[in-house]
Amino acid sequence: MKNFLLEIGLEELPPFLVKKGEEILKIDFLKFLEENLIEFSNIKTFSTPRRWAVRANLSDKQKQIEEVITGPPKKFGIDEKGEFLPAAIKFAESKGVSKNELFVVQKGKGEYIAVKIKKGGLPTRDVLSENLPEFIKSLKFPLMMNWGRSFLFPRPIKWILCLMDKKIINFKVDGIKSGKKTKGNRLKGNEWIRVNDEKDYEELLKENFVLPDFEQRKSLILKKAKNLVKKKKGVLFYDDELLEEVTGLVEYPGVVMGEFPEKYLEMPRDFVVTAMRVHQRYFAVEDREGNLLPYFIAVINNTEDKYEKIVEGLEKVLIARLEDAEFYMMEDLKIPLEKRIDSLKELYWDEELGTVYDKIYRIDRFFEVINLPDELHRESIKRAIFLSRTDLTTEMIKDGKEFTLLEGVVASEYAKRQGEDERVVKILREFLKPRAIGDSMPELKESAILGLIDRWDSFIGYFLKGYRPTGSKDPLGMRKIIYGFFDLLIHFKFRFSLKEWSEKMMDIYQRENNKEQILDYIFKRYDRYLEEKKGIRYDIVDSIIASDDDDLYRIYLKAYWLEEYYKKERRTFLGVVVGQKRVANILRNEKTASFINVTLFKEEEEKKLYSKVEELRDEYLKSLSEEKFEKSIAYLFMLKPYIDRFFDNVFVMTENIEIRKNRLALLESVKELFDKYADFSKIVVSNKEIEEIQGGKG
Amino acid sequence: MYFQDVILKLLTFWKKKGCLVFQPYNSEVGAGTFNPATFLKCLGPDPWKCVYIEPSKRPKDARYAQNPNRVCQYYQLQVILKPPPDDVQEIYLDSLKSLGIDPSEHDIRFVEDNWESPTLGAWGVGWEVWLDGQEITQFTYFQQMGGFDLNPITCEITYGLERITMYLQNKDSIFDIKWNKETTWGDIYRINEEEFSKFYYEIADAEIYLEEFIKIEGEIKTLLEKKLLYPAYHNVVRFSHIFNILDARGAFSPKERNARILRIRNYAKQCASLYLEKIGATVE
Repeated sequence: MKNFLLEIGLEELPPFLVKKGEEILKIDFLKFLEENLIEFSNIKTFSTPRRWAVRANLSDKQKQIEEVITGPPKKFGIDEKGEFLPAAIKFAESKGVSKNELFVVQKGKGEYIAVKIKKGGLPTRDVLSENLPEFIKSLKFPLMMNWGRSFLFPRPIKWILCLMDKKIINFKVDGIKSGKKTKGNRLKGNEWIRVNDEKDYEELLKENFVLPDFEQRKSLILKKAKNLVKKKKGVLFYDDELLEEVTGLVEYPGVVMGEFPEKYLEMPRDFVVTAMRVHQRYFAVEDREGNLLPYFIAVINNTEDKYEKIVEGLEKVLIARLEDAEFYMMEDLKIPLEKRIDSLKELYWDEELGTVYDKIYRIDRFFEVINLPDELHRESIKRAIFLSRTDLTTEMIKDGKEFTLLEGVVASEYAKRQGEDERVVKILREFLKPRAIGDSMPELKESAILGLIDRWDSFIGYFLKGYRPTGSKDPLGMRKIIYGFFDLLIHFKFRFSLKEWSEKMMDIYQRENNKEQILDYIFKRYDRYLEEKKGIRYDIVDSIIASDDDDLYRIYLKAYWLEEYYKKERRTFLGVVVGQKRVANILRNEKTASFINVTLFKEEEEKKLYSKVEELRDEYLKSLSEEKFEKSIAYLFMLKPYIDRFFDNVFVMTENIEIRKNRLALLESVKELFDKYADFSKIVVSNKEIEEIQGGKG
Repeated sequence: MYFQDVILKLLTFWKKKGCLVFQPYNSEVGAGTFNPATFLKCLGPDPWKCVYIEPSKRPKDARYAQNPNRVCQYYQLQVILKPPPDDVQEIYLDSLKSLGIDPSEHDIRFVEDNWESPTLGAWGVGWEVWLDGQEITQFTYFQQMGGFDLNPITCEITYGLERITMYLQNKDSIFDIKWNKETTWGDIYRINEEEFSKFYYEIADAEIYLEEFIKIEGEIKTLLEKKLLYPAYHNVVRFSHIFNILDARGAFSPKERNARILRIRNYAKQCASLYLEKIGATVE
């Protein structure tokens, strides 16, 4: 094994791409080694804004393998006497072997002329020198630019360092020659550094103020930050996303603390934190009770020895941003939210769907016509509806910069200062939650109701105007809207009829549309949502939807318990499904008796099935109406042995029409019970799974 | 270092690097990119290097001279390098050194900031350059201009002259910058800022500008038909500024706003196409 090192030097990468690109490089490099028959061990990768690197131990030579390559079919390759025909000889020539090395192999149904080729065995150094240029050129990252060369890359490549066994592996990538030099920290001289030994790579860079290991840099930043805030008896307001971002912004983990005048703390906490976090990428500092302190932590790409001048600059910029926020707030508070409602008439929500005022008006009307639980504080919701989008007219939001993220929060903060009811203030603050995937839920049920209706209005509106997102394109964010809607209804166990909600919202839009289409669309998304977020098989969800349920929360519960059963009792579950498919098939084209006549039973097994159904029916129905679905499943699955024995011993399609119809009626009554839970015949069972069940039997 | 010396230093620095020293455009623009020395010259195959000052006029940034950082008119220094030299970042850092900024004592960072101009049908990738947390320069590799892919690509470096000078002179407000020994930036521009803020936000008669908007649009169409590139582009620049005035006045709903941006872009694209035609470059 020989030491190997490859470093690609770059102009500063976008921070999000630093670690991500390192991962891509690692995966692709491993694939590259495999394709090139190079064995490896101890692979390690590095990343900073200015470099990606990989170091490994590589085999001195490629592995040697033999590959059988097939050529023309035997009948064109050899005559009856066993002599090779021209087609075979040409094939041998093309592979660079003599015709004596040809032989015949069986492949699929036919026989072919074939040849064994030896591959590999070349010195790794030669293979790398030949193939690395293409490898580098073919790397694909989520962001690429035209940098004036023949291939795209995330940022211009400035140097390529490539060493093996302390010697340069020579190659050129579009004019850029590989070498043994790298660069240190840009701010500390930016000199070329010669790397003579792969093992010295990290140490040399450290001497030049670059810490190339991403995770090491990250944990060092955190450690330094925690130590700094201790001096002020503070606690770092930890933010992992921000920590990853700043780690991707520096080569050296310099950490400093700054402060700002206390008077800005009179502004809402979120305004201050946003001013620090979003553009400046500073961390906030809290006291032990969680109150904001007038300090911040910033990460710099330089050593801390000359921090005073740097911190002074950092403070000035923050103050200018806080100043902006304060200016906006003072301007905004001159016009109460109440008075802003009218100006929503001039603000477009959507070209086709009207103004923001129209939206609010629709939400209010919908709120008035749907059934809602009694315990809700209706007045607060109603007030919040009308104030909910007023902050779109504030300077804070209109600025279109960092504070735009605070939609809802701004309305809430202003409402508080204008003496609105506490509950209204809270609803305004929360109703847009969850704002992103992984965000927390609102606390008040009232906030959730407004959140649900607001999203429902957006969804129906977009749907009616024909908007359909595709996998990668969703400019209106419909997927986020629908997922937020599902998150809320499940979290708050909120019950409603989807049919009713669709009809009523379409009435308000005064647009005709196929209700079925909307339901279908929502159900399909719900399938996927439950599969992605709750790990429930989509066809289990489908089977429940097919049982004509339109209460999304109840669908979730039923699916949840069925999935649980499926996971625990896989074989029984699949057996029941197969049984129900059989029942459904038999009943499809047959007439059944209108009632079951007990005197027509001939076999023991049909009598037993009948009495078990009758015995369980009431308890089963009760469990359904009480939504004790775990119980309901247990009852249904108790029937399985009876159904199995029935099919094993009773011939349904008997000649005697009366008996046949009676047996069919018995099956129908079984199916009716199952259908109340789910249409089990909709669940997909693969051939492999059928084998599994049958294998179990035998 | 006085404001005027910052300007002279940078112009001289880039002149020495082979840039032609150009002049601002003679009509209001929001950014130096609108100057034909950038917008048109980065199209087509011919190399081009220049440096110029551009007064940047942004009605929406008017703050009645009350904000220490935001004003409705300030100066950009624009450098255009087509194609960009390999060590363009190092040359840029050298230009900061020529102003007495020693990188080893500061936190200078190239922070990703991809640039897009909806009105010019242009976008690029690059950075904003931070000096101790303050954004002092926008650094962009243009990828498209007027809807056309660029080949070769062009590097645009835009210095915020006031920001840098504030830093060098250790001032907290743009108005306190010393232009020369006796005169501050505020002496020259404070009243100007107050008055233009009042004009943009309170006085500007939307009717007049809406009318002018329509008239200029007619003119642009005629000029494009007659293939008179420079007059046509001149009017696109005016058109864009009038749009900015109306926008600050809040004259457009978002819907209308978007529609108008698309119109400006469409004319900018036609100008780009006409330019390529005139210099005999092949148009994809």
